[in-house]
Amino acid sequence: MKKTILLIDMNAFFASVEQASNPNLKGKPVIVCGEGRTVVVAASYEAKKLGVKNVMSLYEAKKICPSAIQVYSDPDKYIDTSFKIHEILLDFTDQVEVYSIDECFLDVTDSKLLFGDGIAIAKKIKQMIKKSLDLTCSIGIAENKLLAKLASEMQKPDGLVEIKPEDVPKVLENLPVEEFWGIGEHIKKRMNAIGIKTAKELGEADEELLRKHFGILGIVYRKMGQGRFESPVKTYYYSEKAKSMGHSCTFRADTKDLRIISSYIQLLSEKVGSRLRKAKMSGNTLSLCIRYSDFETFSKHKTLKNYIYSGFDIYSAANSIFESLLPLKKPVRLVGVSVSNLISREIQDFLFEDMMNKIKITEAMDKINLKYGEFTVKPGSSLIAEKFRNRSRSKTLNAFIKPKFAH
Amino acid sequence: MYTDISSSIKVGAVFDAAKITPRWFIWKNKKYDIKKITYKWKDKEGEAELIYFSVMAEEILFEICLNKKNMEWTLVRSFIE
Repeated sequence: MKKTILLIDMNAFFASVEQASNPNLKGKPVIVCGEGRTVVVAASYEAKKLGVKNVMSLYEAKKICPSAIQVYSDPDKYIDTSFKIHEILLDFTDQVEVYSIDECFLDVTDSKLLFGDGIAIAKKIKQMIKKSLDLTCSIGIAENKLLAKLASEMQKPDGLVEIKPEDVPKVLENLPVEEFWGIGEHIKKRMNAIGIKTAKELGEADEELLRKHFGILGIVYRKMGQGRFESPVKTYYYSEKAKSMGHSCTFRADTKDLRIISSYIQLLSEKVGSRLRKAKMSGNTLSLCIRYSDFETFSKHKTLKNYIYSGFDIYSAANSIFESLLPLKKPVRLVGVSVSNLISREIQDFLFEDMMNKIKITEAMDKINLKYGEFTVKPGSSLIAEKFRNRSRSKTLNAFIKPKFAH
Repeated sequence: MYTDISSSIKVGAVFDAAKITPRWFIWKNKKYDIKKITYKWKDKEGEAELIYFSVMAEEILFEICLNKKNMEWTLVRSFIE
């Protein structure tokens, strides 16, 4: 049986949520950026019409659009809104695959008996999201995820496009390969270099040629060129076993101060450790990521003899990688710490006393932080990161800062 | 533009089962009647559930927050054009 797959793509999500929550921003050019940072994270359609693009620098954006209203991003608001959207979608089917904070796939093949065809369901979804959240979305409908995603991008904002099976050859005939989900600039160049520019050419390309240049993925690309894509929509309640756990942080201001960077590494290590312990997991591969002020990114990993899960051990390993990079070439804007190669953890009876003490301290910290908030109890050196975070805030902020960390 | 305030306030609200609707608040000895709740969202701080409301009062947009653990209200920030 042919499937009916929808892709729901919220329009200018962060900016739209800001406009929905503040009537003063409606109909106006709005740019959302991180606090203290200078890159546009999201722009409203009014700002986009005037030439503002996501990932543009704030300076450029303000030059193009001096009347744009700048708003700091509020991730909790967007996450909560995303969950509210999921609740609406789950009214129609439990086959809701959350692709990103503002995109979901739905498989409504079995829901059509109750709610009507794909178009009828899509219209109801749009209506419900608009009514309850005052937000718009573009919905693509097709028989697989690839084509549904393509359809969703054809009309923005507030679009509704269906690609029927009989329309597929016409849609793909002159479609540039880079329009496909998963084919970026690098793959596009490699395809163009062997004479493949359109989806049709990709779908008709020689299998051996594609295998030679792209390995096993070559066969997947060929199928994509024919409009075929086999990955099913996962159910909302499906959870893949985590392969890694990590956290990263963009600083309020770029810095070369080693104490500050090290302090952030420690904070992130504690965060990763806390998540590992909650999931009763440990890992033996530690990765550190550093992004410099010019966006050059460095990443290195280290495989350890033992499996670790405490913030202290994670920090020790991460910091040793960091020290191997010194002296720093340029100021740093982001650090990330992650632990991978995860296994389920069990506490063993024959641990040495100091390790037992470490475990007890860690577990006590977890209990306090769970009750009173993240980082209520934390390593003393992480205060350096907090002071840096507060000091480099914009001058327009009121002097009173909520004492979240004042313990 | 948004201005951070983070001040404790008194709030008059209607509690109807799980639904909470703030009706007015007092800040710096002035009473603000809430004309409209434009948005609502949740967050967590440890065990405490926080509920945020964007509200219009006297043509100004305010964000207020209820900490459901200690039942304290905070005026988070305001927006003035």
